[in-house]
Amino acid sequence: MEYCVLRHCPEDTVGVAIRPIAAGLEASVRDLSTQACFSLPVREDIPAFFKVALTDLPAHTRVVEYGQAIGQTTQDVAAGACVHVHNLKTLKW
Amino acid sequence: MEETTILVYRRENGSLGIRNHVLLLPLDAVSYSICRGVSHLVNGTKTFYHPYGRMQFGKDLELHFRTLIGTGRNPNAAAVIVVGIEPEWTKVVTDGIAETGKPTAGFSSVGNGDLKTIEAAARKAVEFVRWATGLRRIEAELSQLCIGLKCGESDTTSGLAANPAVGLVTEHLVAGGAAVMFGETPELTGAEQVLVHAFQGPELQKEFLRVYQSYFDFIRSQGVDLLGSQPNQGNIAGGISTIEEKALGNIQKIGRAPISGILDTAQAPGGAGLYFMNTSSAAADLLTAMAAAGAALQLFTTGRGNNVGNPICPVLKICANRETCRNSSENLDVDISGVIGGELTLPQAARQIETAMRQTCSGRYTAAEILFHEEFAPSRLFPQS
Repeated sequence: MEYCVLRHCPEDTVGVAIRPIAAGLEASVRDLSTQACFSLPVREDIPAFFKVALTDLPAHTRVVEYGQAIGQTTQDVAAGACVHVHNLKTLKW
Repeated sequence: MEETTILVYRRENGSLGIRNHVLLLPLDAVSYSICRGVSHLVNGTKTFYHPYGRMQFGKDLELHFRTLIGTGRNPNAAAVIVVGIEPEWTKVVTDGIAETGKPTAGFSSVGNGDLKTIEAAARKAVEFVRWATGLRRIEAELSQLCIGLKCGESDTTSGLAANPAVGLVTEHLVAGGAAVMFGETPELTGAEQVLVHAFQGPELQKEFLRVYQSYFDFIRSQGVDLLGSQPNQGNIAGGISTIEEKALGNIQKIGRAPISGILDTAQAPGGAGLYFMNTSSAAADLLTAMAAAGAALQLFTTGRGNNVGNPICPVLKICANRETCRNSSENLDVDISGVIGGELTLPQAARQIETAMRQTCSGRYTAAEILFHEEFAPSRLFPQS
């Protein structure tokens, strides 16, 4: 199955779309470290190279990419939604 | 069969260069006019403008001297002519470069005017070019070089493919005995607790955290944060949301290589190994600092395209964003966008990068060299007196 989302490692709660994905599509996610694949219903349009939530992320949840925290959500984010500066903020300031 | 060796210039002090410049080095903004005059008269010379070199003092002056002297000492310069206003500072820089044993001469314009200085410097440049163009390349290995690493205008493809591919190259180079440098202190924010484990030994780990913390404290002392600057608008348009995400992608460039030392800006590494240089993350500034530290070649990954170069050190551009590879192909050297779609593995991408490095080392121009990207940006610590 041709994948359209890459995940760095199994601990990650977001993946990166490698091409634009339209809302309503069933995206195939491939893990770069294990090569495992699974599918994810995408609930809004994801531009190429933007991140998509792989699981529900309630407000103030630490978001994990590269197996590390990259910030926290500023609002509830559902699995399959786009994760970017509108709902994710640095933990540093 | 693929070449495994490279053809380089061996300098008097044993360092290996991949270009053979006769460099006209202006000590200050004003002296550039003389360097430019000479460069128009004498074929085979290279010069560049920078705005500094007057009324600097203390650590800021030390850094300026270290940057200029280091640039002259870079193994890609066969011979150097330093031009300044006053003889005293001109001599400091000239002597610092001449220590390497390479042909070096200094000219100061005070009391001579531009034209007489141009004539004297041009006569010396004729002599240096005649000599330098007679030098021959010798065979060597990539891992005998000093190499810099940098990323710019990163997007999520940088962290997914371009930086991990360079990480594999870094592991090969460091295992083979190369001196490799990376920097960008601000862009380690959020990855510092991961990176610290790559530093060899508790002393070095402690020192790294001290260097990082003092930078972080400086930002706080200014009453600001880096939002709006890190990540920048280009990074955000490329899908990077936070400084942590940018930093974790950034550090993929060193792979799993151990870090054996910490350098001040523009400080040359003492030997083989991987070194962290405490620097700004602005591209031209860091490329200038690593060239001044002796880099013969620099690897530069980009997501959305940063076209920066350096006057004396070739900068090899590596990109994994298919759209950028298509819309900015003249600015890029290695297209590894196949990694994202799965048509190319990371080890294959690393081999493509190493092949391009060998070709560049042996004489092929990089995109930045072909397009005259010769940005020279010496770092500053504080304003002049």
